[in-house]
Amino acid sequence: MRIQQVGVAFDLRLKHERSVASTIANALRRPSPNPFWALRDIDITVREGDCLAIIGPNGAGKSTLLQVIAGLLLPDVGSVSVRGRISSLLNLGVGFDPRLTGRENVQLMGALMGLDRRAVAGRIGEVVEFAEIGEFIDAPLRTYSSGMRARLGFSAATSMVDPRVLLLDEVMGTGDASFREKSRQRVMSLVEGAHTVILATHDTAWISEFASYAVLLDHGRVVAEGAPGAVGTFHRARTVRPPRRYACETCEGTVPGTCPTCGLTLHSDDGVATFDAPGGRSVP
Amino acid sequence: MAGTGGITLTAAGSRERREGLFGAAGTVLLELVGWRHLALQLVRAELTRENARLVLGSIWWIADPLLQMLVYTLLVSVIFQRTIVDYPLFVLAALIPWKGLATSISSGGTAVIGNERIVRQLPFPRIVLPAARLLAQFWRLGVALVVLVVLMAILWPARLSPAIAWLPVLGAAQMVMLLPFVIILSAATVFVRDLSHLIGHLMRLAMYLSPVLYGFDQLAGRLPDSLVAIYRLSPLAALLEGYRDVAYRATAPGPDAILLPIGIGLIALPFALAWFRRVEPGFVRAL
Repeated sequence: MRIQQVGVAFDLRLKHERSVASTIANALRRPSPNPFWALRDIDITVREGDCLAIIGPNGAGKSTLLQVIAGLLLPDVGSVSVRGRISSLLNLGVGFDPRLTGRENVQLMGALMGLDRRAVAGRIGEVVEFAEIGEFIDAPLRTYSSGMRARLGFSAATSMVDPRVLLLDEVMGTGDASFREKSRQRVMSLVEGAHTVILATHDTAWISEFASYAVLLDHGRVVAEGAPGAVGTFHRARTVRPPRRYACETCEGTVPGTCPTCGLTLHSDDGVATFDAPGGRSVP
Repeated sequence: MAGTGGITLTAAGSRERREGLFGAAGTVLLELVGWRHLALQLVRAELTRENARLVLGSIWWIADPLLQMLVYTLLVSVIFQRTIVDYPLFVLAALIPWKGLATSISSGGTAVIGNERIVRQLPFPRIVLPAARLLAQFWRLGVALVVLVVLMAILWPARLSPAIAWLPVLGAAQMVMLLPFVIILSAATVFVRDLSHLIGHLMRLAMYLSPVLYGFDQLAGRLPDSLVAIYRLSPLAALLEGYRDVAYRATAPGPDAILLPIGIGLIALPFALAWFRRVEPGFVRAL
């Protein structure tokens, strides 16, 4: 999969809901001169069999990047090419309707993912079992607890896909501790089964476990990339206040370029300069 | 979800330039056929959802024109002292298809914005959304027409004739006519949100302009003949009079009642599909 020079710009005026009156008003005006770039100059190549982690703070553009890869959002600049079927777990339980039963919701979700009735019916037992829903599957979703709803969402989303390219967006952390452990194992097996995995998170704790490569996004740009451990450490150091320095002796997390010791590649970017601030040389 | 083959997405807009009107329309149509399972699931979900939400569920779909029939009968025969024989049936025969038309437009028009959360997250062809909404309304119209026939058998048995076999044909013609307009509206409301309010008022106006409360016969003496002739060319008017021929006058509908709506629908469909394909990639961004 190749992502080349991708940029996504949002015309901030489009962010507001449009009305007939404002449309006429906008048509008379010229296009917004300074759009907001949610993503800028993104260049990533993911080989088959790789697992890429996209990390970054909230609002860095992680979800937007996944939306572009999933084909939901066309880039304004650049191109994305993907080989193979993409499955996205961008948001679990999305489209669940409280008035429909669990079974009806799962059927609808399966259809939204491109499965026919028979294919969904064949997997629904597995979905129910993993979600630990039991006979509630035939009760309307509004009678579910939020935990049950989350479990069903996760279970339905992960049981029905057999993807070559898997996109995961903050999928962990649903349900109680035991379900979280179960879902962690489920994601692990999906990662092993899929040919290519791309996961977005702001939690760096578990990326080293899954990922073979990591990219740090901030303000729509790739700030750093490289080995997941190094990028994770760099990201943590960068977000700690008061700011601390990066642990690697060779690059200290400040010099643009690739560090031979820790494998971190830093891009010259305004984001990096803010990291190298007073705070001493404590190691995270 | 984006198919099993490889895909390449490039910067917005550059993807459709090469295909012509029919190429683009055909692509969308094929998507719809390929995703018919989803369309049927959406129809099922919508019908179930409606039944669960209201105590009487779909009953309101039929009760609504029936209550309107009572109001208009009272208004026309008691207050305006007009006499049309069996006016309740006269007006009901047009009110039911009108209800089908109005709900198709309002429900189909919000097909994409009403499913905003799904559209933002999953990359299925959006054309299934308006198509499914229209299909659900087609089902509702069918049920209401069955109720109409039952009512006729009880209250106006003399007007029941084999001509009612034309009802499904008229219903199908109505759906063919509506499909392109519902497709266009569902996409237009994404970019101009409050279009649906405007449509509500336009539909009310259109109802009084259409032969719902009156028929071609009532216009004949009051308007110049040339104007009536033009009026008859309106596919909507022809369609409603067709329903009335079948359910009220116990005769077969004129050919215009079926051919005009189907003709309009088929002519507009490729344009609607091609336009939908052009604006579809912008949905997620605009929602």
